[in-house]
Amino acid sequence: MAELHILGQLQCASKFYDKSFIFCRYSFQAGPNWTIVSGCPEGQTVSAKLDYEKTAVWAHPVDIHYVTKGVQGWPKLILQVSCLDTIGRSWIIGYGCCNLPAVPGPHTIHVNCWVPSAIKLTDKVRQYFVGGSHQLIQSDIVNLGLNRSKLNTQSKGTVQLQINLILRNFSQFGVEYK
Amino acid sequence: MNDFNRCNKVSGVYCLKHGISDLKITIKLKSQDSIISLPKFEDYSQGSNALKLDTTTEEYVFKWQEKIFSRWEVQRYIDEHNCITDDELKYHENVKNIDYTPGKIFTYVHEDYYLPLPYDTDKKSKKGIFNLETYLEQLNLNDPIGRVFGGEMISTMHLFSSDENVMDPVEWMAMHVVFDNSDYNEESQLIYKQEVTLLSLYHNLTQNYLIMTPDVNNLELNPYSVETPSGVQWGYQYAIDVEFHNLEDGEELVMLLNKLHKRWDRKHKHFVNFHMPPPGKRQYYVALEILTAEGFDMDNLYIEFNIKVPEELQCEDTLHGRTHTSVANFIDFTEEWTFGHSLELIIEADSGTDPPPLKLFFEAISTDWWGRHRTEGYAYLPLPLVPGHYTKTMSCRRPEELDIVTARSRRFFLGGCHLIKDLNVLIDPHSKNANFTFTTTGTITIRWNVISQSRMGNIGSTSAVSSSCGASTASALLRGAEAALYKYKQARARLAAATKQLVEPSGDGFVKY
Repeated sequence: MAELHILGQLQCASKFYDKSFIFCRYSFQAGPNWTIVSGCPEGQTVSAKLDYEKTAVWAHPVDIHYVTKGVQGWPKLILQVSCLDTIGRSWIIGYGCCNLPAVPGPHTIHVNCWVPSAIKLTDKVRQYFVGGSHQLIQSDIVNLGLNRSKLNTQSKGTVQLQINLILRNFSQFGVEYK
Repeated sequence: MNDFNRCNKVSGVYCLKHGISDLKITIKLKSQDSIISLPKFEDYSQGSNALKLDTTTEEYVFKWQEKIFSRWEVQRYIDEHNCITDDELKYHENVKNIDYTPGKIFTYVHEDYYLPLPYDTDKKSKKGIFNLETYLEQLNLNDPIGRVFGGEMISTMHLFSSDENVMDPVEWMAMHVVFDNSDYNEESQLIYKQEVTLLSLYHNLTQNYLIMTPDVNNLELNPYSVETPSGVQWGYQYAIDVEFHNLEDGEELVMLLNKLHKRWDRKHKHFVNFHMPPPGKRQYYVALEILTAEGFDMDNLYIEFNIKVPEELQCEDTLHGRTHTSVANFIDFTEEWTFGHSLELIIEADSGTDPPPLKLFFEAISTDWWGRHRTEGYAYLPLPLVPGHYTKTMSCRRPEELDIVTARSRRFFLGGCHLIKDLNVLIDPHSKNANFTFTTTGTITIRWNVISQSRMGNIGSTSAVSSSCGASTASALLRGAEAALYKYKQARARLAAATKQLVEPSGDGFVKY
């Protein structure tokens, strides 16, 4: 049985210009062959204030240990970036997804985020003055490679992930990853 | 507190895994430690002065439905004239044939019908308060209602009657262990009958469970006292113990261990069985992401992708699709469209051959507020199936008319560009007689992972991977060494088989050639 260790941190978010405090909910998802031995695959970062470079640093630690009986369903990271306004309201300002690399060693991954955009003028005006956003009812669309051409979105910033990957016993099963 | 101590008898319900025939009931009886049980002065006036209490414990063991006769039952059944029914005649035979010495404790079995069953279904069905049919019969309303609803054939009548027939008839079998405190004269004739039930066992034959009243207890810690229903104690304490299945200690342990081993084995196989490609095949797992697009003229952009798999490879995944439509994010006066569209491909190839690269075609398309879709640029990427993690920014281009005025006018008034029907022109532009030029537009950034997997011990696939990777990895070397060792063993076995007859010694001690 092969093993994968994911060690690292959700480093920061950048280019989210419109809000002052942002935080992120994350979830590692893998196929049915994969089983978590230790670590929490889901979590939420702290709420961080954007600095003068419009970067919010979370430095949220990630430590997950998977065992697997197949390479299919390699783990993915799914992100949901939310903002927190001055009166305590929060809403989603970005969805993002990335495949984790299969090459052992350190990696810096930039996850590009997007959010469903307001189509109607009234929605745009309300979001501009009052706040809030459209949200996905089925969030699976973020990580599944389905045809989503009818979804209109607004491009948002990026989340930076710094991870170290350790792979074990994959070679025993004839797996080549680099 | 006194009431609590007196009411320490609680019932127990046991689900039986096996039959009840192996049931073994043990009653331990001892006289109660009280002032009544103290020895009399006369008993010790001539003997030693040591004060000894009579605390001997009597133990009675019964099987399920084992009939033990009391003293008055022996007197009754020994006379044949008292026996009328078949059971009584059977008891008469038993008492007559066996020299019976009745004790303090005896049993009533199910055939005796002395004590009631815990749940009389017939009684309930006849006297139940919710029995609608009974009420209808009592009120003589059955016929009028039947006439109103059109007789018993209609479903409404079944509805009325169905509530009572939901429960199947429940069969019970009972056994009672009874303490005999009756008074007898010198000829064992019954003077005054006094008996109290120590233990009642009710076996539900339908559901196969056992109700014990009272439950199993401990003689030292929680003894039951022998007392009448009104609470008069008869100076004895007792304890109950039940053994359900007469398995040997080791046998049960072996059964448990076997079950545990089976479960462990199943779980172990579930984890250890690594998914492998079929023999002679190599699988490639490609995880592709379309990340961003930059530098295009128009907004509301989406990427349409088309993946062409060479004939030598097999892929059953979706090879065509579109990302979502994205509105640009302005960063440092440049527009960036983010997608984060991921797709996974599982590609199968023959091992031992270099797999040809996949052909990826991308088309950036913008939409305007009229809903028109206009192509902004094309990109092509040959994706080699080399294991690793890669990021690539592709330049897009769009075909434009040779006449620059026509091209600009078309671009200004209509937008978009010539549509390429055959995308192979992107692979080799010279192969087509195209009367247009290509203009560079924006860029598309993609990221992909390739993992390959094949069965171990395949030299051909190893060499293929090594050649395609350009640099052999440690695992590939290890696999190559193992494969070479395997081949060597095979060759040695073949040599041994071939030379076996040649060097076989004959009976006279010489070697035949």
